[in-house]
Amino acid sequence: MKLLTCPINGPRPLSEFVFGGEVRTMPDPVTSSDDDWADYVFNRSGEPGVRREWWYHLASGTWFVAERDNLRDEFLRTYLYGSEGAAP
Amino acid sequence: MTSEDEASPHPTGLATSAGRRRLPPRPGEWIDRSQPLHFRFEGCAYYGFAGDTISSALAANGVRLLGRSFKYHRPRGIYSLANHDVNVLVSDGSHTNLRADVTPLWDGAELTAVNTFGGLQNDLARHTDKAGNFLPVGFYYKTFHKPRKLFPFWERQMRAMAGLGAIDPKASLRRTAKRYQWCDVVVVGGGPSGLSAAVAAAEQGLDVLLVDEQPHPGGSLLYQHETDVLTMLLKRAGELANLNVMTGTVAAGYYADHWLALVDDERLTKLRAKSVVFATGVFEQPALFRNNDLPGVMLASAAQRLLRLYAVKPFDRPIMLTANADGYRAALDMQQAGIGVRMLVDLRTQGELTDVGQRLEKAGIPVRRGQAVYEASLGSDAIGIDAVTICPLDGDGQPIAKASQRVECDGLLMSVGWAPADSLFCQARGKLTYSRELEQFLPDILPAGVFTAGRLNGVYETAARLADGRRAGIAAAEYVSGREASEVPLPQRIHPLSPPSHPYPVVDHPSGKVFVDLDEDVQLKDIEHAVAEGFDGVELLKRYSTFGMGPSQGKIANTNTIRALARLRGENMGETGSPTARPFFHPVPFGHLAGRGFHPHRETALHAGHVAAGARFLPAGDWLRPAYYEDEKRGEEPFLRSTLRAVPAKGSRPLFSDRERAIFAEVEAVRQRAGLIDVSTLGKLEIAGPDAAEFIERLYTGRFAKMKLGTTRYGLMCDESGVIIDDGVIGRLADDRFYVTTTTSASGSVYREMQRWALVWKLQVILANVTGSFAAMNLAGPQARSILAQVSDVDTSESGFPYLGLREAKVLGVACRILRTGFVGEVGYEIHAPAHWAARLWDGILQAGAPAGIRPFGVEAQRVLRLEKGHVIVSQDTDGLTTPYEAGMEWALKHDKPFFIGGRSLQIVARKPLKRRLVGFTLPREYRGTLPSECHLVIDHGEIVGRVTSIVRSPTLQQAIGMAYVRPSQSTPGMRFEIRGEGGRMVEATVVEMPFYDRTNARQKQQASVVGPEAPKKASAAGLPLRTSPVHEPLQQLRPTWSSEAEMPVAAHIGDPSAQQIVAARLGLADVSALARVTVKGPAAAELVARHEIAVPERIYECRALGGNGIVVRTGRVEFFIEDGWRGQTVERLRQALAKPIPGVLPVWRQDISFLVTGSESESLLSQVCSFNFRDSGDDLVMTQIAGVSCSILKRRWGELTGYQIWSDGTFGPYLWATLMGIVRELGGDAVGTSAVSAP
Repeated sequence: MKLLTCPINGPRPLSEFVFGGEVRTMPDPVTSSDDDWADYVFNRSGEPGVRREWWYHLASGTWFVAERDNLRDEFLRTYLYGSEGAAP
Repeated sequence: MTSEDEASPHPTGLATSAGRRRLPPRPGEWIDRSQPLHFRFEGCAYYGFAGDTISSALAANGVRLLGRSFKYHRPRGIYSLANHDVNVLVSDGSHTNLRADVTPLWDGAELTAVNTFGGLQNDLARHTDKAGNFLPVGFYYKTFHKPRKLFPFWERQMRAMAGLGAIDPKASLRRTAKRYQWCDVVVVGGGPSGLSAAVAAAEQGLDVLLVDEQPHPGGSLLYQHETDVLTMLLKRAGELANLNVMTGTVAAGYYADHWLALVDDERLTKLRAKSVVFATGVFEQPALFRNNDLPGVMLASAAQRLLRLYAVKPFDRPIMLTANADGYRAALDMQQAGIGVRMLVDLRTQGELTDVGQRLEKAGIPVRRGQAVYEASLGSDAIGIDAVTICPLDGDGQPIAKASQRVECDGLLMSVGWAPADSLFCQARGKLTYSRELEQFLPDILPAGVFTAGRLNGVYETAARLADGRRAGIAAAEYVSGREASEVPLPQRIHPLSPPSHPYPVVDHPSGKVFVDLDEDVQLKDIEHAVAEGFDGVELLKRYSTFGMGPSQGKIANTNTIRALARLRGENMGETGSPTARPFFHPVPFGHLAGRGFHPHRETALHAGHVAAGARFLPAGDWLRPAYYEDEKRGEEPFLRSTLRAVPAKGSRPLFSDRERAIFAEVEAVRQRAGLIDVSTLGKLEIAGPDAAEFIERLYTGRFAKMKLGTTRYGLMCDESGVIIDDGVIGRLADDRFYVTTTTSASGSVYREMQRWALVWKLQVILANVTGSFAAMNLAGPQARSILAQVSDVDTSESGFPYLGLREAKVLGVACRILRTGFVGEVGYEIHAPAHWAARLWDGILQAGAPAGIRPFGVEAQRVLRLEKGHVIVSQDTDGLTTPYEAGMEWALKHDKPFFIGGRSLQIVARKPLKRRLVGFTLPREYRGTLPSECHLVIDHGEIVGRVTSIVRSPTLQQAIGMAYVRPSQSTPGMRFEIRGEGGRMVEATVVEMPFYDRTNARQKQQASVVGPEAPKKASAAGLPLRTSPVHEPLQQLRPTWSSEAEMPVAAHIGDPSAQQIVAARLGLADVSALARVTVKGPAAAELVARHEIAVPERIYECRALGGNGIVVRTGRVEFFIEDGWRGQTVERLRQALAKPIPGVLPVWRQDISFLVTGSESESLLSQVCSFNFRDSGDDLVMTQIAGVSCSILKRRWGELTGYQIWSDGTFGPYLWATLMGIVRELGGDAVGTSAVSAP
């Protein structure tokens, strides 16, 4: 089983995690058009490449961000949300 | 010769005569001649020795015919003797498809060949072979699918004819528990290169595991090559304590990140390595010619195995067919053992150019160069070959048939080439390339952390294999250590004068059967036909012809098939490629895969009380909830009689089942008197901090910022698209503190999303999921008020505790939160109590309410009650597309606030026409038929327009009521619509305004009607349970000696005290849920901890000691877990300090289950339930999963005793206890009392 390294708990099998989708920014609900809003709500990018994804470690309740190459299904790095620039 | 001839009628001279083909003792043989074994095969008695496999013992007895083939029932015998073919599958009655070549013989075995009709010798189906010409590839696909209705008949016929062994459904159940294991470097394959790699990696100080499927390590050194090298290697391996060797173990599959399935007799082991060395070697490949499958035709390596490992003389006068030096060596081996090799046939015109060629000629064996075997001939006994026909090859390698010559012999040995055992390497996503120098696929691109060594690398010479293994072992060790890789030389291939494998060892025959796959009886001409029909890609060809799909997975079939396909396509081998390698390498028994299943379930703290009250349970997500309670008095309820009058019964059959009558009685109790339901499964969350109100405003659709303290409001939650995902009650405990409930099924996901939004919005909130910490029960009914007054000091007057109020008060001495709710349509109090105390409250309230006629009610009655009151259940009355507009809940949307999740989408939805609408409906009071069910469709003019979401027979309204989605144009009260009910019958329903019951909410205002003439007096708490452990019930069955800790009964001794110490030292399981514990979280938590003279751990998961074996662990950046030791007072001091809320601290009074696992076998237990390697954690706390449940685990020590402490949500306690106890007992341990771990 694939391993994923939680920034708090270290490498764990994938079964200890819940996938939380891609990290996306909500457009301003007041100023965005209906179409832009619908695009945010319903459309997801299936493009191959490096994605920033939300992952959740179940046993400890930890959300973090993983950068994953979805073409090669390879985790490149993981970090806590908001600490992207911090040293690994 | 028949097998009957071979039967020894009398066991004389056992030790020496176990088989007439057995040679005198030889060095290195695996058999133990001092241990004779009796067995029977196909009814005849034979003898073998310990160390024999079934096939080797039969070969020693001269039995040649050992099996029948899958499709044509052709005679088959020993071929590879290495599990690379499945010619010999036998059954002992209860175990089927035993691979006789590698299954150790046992004394008293009663064996038969599988897939025969009337026995192996006279298999009635053997004539299928004659019809073979009429059964070409794809025959079944083309022939039997028309007419369609006859296919089941033909399918039965085919399945009976072709196939393997039969299953004995009465075979005894054997538990094959799975296990986790870890190492730094795993080396797969124990031949010279694998042993060398393992030694080299272990010399670097790493934890190394060597896995080999044979009973002894050594690989080809055992039967083909020099044995002194092996002695030296094994000696060195034995000296290295960090080198662990697992023999008799197959690495059956490779999965992501060096996760390997290891299969032995007992179990499946899931191995997590940090690096892998594949030293898996090569499979010897057969030559293709007519009748290349018959008994007597054998791979040379199989004959060498028979000779060296089992001291069995394979043949008397064999012929050797070869195309490499290995064949010459094998012929010399035979000659040295006294076997007169008649002739050596070499496919190569130049013959063998190394010195082994000359040695053979000196030995006097005639050599025919540039010749091939054209066919093998079945002897008159129809059991095995008695001659082969050889013929010269022309310049293109084609046989010159007219120059053929028949040579009599009793066996044909083949050594024409090797194929790499690259399946695991390919599963690891290694890439291959084809080498013309070696005529073999070789590893080309290695994935990170994967290394290869030995003949798999194309390195054939022994010294070079040792060096290559060493190279790979060091490279793996460097990878694990993260050291800069030293210059790793490439494999040193000593290119032979001619390749070890022949590029095309194939001689076609115009009419005879030439087999490419023995498992599936696939012939060379099947391949040709399939390609001609267009199935000419390697994957398509595999599926159409079934080559490589049998039990041996193409080990000796794939290479020749690919050679044939490449030639037919006019390509080279690399272009044609290999079929995708998938697990498993060898078939794995289903029992091993099933292992022990983990199916976690949760029980509320009141579960034992429900069982005692006769509850019938139903599963609700992870939970078991009481559906209803059986009650012998149900028939006498006056209320029920009136219901029955409304619907007269016919004949003797009662109109309502016992179940329905029980449910109606519960409904009646709530409507007329009082009921108590366990609602502990509701999600319960705490939200604290300066931004708590703002946070809730954004999450829920309503308005909450200005809520008064001590009040609750209904909360509706939508997702970003505006679909309803959850609802619950939001209560305000303080300006900066809220208590929130969620639906049962959404508690986990709602909490998870809240955590994420808190991060994204960067709000100052502290969140806690206290679902398991609080038990909850709803006391409802006209008498609820007076019953609550008896058990609690809360002011129950309408002004003192109005509808939707929230109070923190003591109930029967226990600090609780009480929410005034109206879910079931009567005055109701949801009492949320610490789970360890819940049993006291449940028992106490039922006792106090007994004079008023209270009764417990279940989920079924609650469904009726809430439907009468028109309350929607999210995810029953809503689905994955339901918006608040469709559900008629637009009143809950506050669009005038700045933002809530889903708000923007709902603004768009609101502008669009509504497609459906949830309405209440009734069926006519006189309706007598079967009720439609949930999900029955609403039909309008032949079109589906909606569905029923809820429907019950309402005893209160004396008619069927429900909710359904209908067209908005049909949703006005009084309108009618049609439901397609059971059997397609249309039922007419009428839209009515909801709620069906108590439309003015007058029931909430109803004042307490006092039972009896006096005012309610306080109920006595005497005799009620104190705190109880989540596993109190199973502990009680062990009849322990009870003591007490923090007001909870504790099992101090179980069984005899001295015996208990012995158990604890081996493997003990003790319940220590009683210890006082709390989690404090929030920005001021560290300061609070420090103020109470508790050492503050710095790292996350660092653990510090409190006095008396207590601990404090940092469980987050601003989160600490504190647990007292026996008689500790720290938690109590914190409780007093936190009696008045402290800003910036959210305490969670945890109601955990906590176990101690003690003794030397505790790691064995954990390795069966937990994938974490505790060597990696040091002394820190670990949060991971045990048996599928999230747990915290810490290494502990109690005096001399070592072990682990495990904490989990108490609602998983009974499941975890039962699961762990089952394994503990299998491992020779037992439950122990707390005195075993130095409790007072």
